[in-house]
Amino acid sequence: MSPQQAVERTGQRAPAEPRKGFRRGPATRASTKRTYVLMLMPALLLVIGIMIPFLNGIWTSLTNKKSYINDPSFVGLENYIELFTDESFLRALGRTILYVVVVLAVQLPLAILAAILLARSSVGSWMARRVLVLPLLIPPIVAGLMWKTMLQPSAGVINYLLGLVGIPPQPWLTDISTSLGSVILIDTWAFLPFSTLIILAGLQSLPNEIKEASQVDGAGPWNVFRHISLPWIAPYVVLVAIFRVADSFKQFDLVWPVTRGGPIDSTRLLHVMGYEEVFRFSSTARGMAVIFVLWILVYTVSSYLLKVWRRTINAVG
Amino acid sequence: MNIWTKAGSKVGFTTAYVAIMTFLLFPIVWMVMMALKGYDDVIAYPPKFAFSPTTENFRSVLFGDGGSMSSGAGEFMGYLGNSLIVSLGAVALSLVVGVPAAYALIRNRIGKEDTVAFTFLSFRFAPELMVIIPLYGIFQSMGLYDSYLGLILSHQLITIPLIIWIVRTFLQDVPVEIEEAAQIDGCGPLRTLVRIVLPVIRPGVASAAILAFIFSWNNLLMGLVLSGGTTQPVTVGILQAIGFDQVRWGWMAAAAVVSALPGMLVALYMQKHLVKGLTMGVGK
Amino acid sequence: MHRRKAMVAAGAVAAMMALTACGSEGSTTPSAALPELPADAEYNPRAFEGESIRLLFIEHPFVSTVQPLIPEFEELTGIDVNIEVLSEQQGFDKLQADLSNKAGNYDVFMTDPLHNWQYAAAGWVEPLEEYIASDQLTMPGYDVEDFAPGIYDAGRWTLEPLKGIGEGSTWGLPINFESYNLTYRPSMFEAAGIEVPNTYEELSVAVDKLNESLPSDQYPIVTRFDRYWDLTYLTFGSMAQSYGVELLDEEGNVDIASERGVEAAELFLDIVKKGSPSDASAFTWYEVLQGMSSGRFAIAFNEADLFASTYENPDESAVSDDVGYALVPEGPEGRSTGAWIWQVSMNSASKSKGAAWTFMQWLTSKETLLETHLAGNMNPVRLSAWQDPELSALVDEWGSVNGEYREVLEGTAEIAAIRVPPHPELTRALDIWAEALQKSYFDGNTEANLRDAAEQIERILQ
Repeated sequence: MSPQQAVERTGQRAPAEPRKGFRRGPATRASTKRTYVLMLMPALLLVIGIMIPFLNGIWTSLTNKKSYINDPSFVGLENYIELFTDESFLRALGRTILYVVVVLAVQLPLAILAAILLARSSVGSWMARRVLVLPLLIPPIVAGLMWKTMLQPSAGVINYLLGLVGIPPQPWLTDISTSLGSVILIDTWAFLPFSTLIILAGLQSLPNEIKEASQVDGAGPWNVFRHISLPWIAPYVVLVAIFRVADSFKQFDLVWPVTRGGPIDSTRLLHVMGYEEVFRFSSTARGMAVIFVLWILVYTVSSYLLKVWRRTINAVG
Repeated sequence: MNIWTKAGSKVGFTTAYVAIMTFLLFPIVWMVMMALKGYDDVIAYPPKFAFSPTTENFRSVLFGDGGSMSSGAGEFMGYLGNSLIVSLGAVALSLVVGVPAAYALIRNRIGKEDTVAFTFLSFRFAPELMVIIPLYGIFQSMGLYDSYLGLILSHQLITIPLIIWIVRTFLQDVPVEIEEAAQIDGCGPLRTLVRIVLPVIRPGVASAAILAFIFSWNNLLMGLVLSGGTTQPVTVGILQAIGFDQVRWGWMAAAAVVSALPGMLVALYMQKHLVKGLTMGVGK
Repeated sequence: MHRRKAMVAAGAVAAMMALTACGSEGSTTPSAALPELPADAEYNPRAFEGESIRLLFIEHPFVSTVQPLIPEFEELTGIDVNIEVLSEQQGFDKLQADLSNKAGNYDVFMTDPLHNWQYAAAGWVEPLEEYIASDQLTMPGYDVEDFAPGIYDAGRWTLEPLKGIGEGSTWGLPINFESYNLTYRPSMFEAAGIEVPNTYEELSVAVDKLNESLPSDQYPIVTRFDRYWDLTYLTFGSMAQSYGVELLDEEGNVDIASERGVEAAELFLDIVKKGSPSDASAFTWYEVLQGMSSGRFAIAFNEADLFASTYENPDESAVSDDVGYALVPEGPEGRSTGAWIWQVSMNSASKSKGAAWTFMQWLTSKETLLETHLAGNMNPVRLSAWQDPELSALVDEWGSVNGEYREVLEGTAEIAAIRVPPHPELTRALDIWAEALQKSYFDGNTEANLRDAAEQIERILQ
């Protein structure tokens, strides 16, 4: 039998819609619904609490507010038009998109690989599972500062170690061609564990019976992986992608304390630009506009990823 | 598969394993070393791997000043306590609110299920900078500033999306037959959730809880702006190592190590649930 | 479901409009709201007994020198004091959140002229001159004339964009200041056979000689060079000023790309390129301090003079017995340095202004400031401070010969001033200039980059 059929026989994914034809009386249906609504309400209330500042921010971006302008006037989309005709904004936009794409391209495969390595039961795995969580426990801003000092070209330990094996010193964060890549390196160190842990949990939730059943059929490890494990963990991978997309679009803590957007503007991501506009240059409205553009980007990409997520769920069973 | 391919792949796996482990571990090791170095060893070049360790930094963090030249004794431990209260509280609240919400979203169509769920997630998209200044104003006028409750509520922005979505992904893997069996027996949705489904998705809830705790613990901006002298979290405390003219690396490293301990304990505790694989044989 | 959603949305919009309305009150013309006191009352430190104030201080040695003195203040006045200390970036971020919401959470805060130009323009800072002038509110013997005039005047501004420093309202009281000098390693100079350079040209020659004599892991020069306003406001700014170049010239035109401006920039870049390691473009003042203390550099070029307290401390630096100080080099238009002044200001939304003022005047009084100087708060802002024998003895040993630090400092004080036009968006302008310099470091098109920057700055300031 095919791997597909094996899955269907031994354990299905719960379908996204409730089972039709399942008999429940109208009264029970209503009270069930009420319970569900009650369960949902607290979460919704919290959500509303965030909406107000958020909407305030959008409103501000439609005015000419600077910190020293006490009654700002409505200017409509002027700030946005200004931004999209500003070269430095467009560069920051492109840079941020590039950053997100590279982060995903590097961290997703690495996380899957790491999860596979850890799922194999062995002493190494046991240790690895405990070690994995360590980088996560360092606040990003501290991690950034630590890496900054390690990556110092003339005085840092990384170049020193590279020198011991004959590799010439790299400029890392101090040259415009390598600075963004170095930030991505730090990001990977800080967040690979996060991605790996989620995918690992997904891998471990794969029922053993399914794997065993297909192996009995003579499927080699690569085939098992491709046709069974991969589709099974696909929703987890997409979930990781959704989180990583949101977080890397918004990346700030790893950039500002480390490079302040420099050298020149090679690491000025959109969130950094938004921070500068609001907190350093007093241009509150412009900063909010930058941040709102950022939000729209994240929202759009994540909506698309959500569709992908649903497809991966329905793909199995 | 012949023996050479097997050996080859084993070597490949081992190399990958060692590479990833080194990558993840080296900075940690370097940081711990930094925490044990005196200031002149920290800034020395070439970098020192052999040095005479000192416990001065740890002593200073645990018992002495708060790291800056201006704080009082034992302050850092106070920050640690604050972070514990806020992060544990935030995760607890998110679990109580979020797990049932995730369940409700999966099992019943309330309007468009995915849109609602996505709205929860979308608050993770909001850059904190966008909301933090108005939020400060709101907190001040509502008296939530510098309060544990206020911080716990503001951290929901971080923890709820994580919990709802991770738990939801795990819920998708739960066979419906299990719940149907319970419902035939007369269990309402809440009981079904607690009695039947939760034990099955325990690894998922544990992962979600650990990650939510860690992200909440590491958060800087909320704690900086919305807390005052009483509730300052540990992230703000660590940054006090940044003096006006120099960064006190040794102290910062020691503070980071100390602040990582609660997270490690939480993770270790939760690992018990994580490591247990999901046994789908329930009720079969 | 739709109806509920609509109601929620409407509610949110209403709330948001209410919030925006809240944020837009406040006048643009400042007026102090002095606390009322009975007409014939004399100065009484206990006039505001029982009130409590909250301070926001930025991490600085000053803060640790003040904290032990706070209990004395509380005893003297019966006012309860709460202090929050944050490092620079976090502190100013939080201050901005508080001030822009007019929440009045902090009554007194540490600040500086550059930030105050933004805050005062927004109406967030309480003007102080009426407090100072009032015999009822201010202690006799406060002696406001005792402040070094240039330093004190930097805290005054008429709120006119681009002009009026030193006139108009007083927005902040100074507590210390920092200026710039050449800090050098006498032993390295001896080995290279050079004297302390007097002009920037001589400095360039000195760098060449040092390059020949220094081992490969040591460098002649270190200076901050990140694309941040402090480069053009303070360190390179000092050099530019000695070439007669300020951000705006007398007619108010942007002057940075003039012939002299380009000349100064090119010389600066040349010196950094040949005298500093390749990652110099990422150096902030942190790297300067660390680098100099660890002995890797021969000269800290146009860098902060109060780093001396670290250099002279054997626990913190490897060069404590081999460091000297000299005035900044001379340019074609003489010698000049900028100054960074820390001040305290009062929140205009404070609910305890009387108590806040009591604290501020106590803090900046002769006695209190002197005590902080003796404990390490550098550099003194009151002329009377150096009369104190203990204080002069304290810094006597600093430098390659006795009294060197003090001598250089006194010389510096004569040429130090803030020579930038006050404007709430000055930070952006200075940043743009700094970015042009950094760009030129990488691509060598100094003149073109400076011209571009000048155009951008024109648009912002005009």
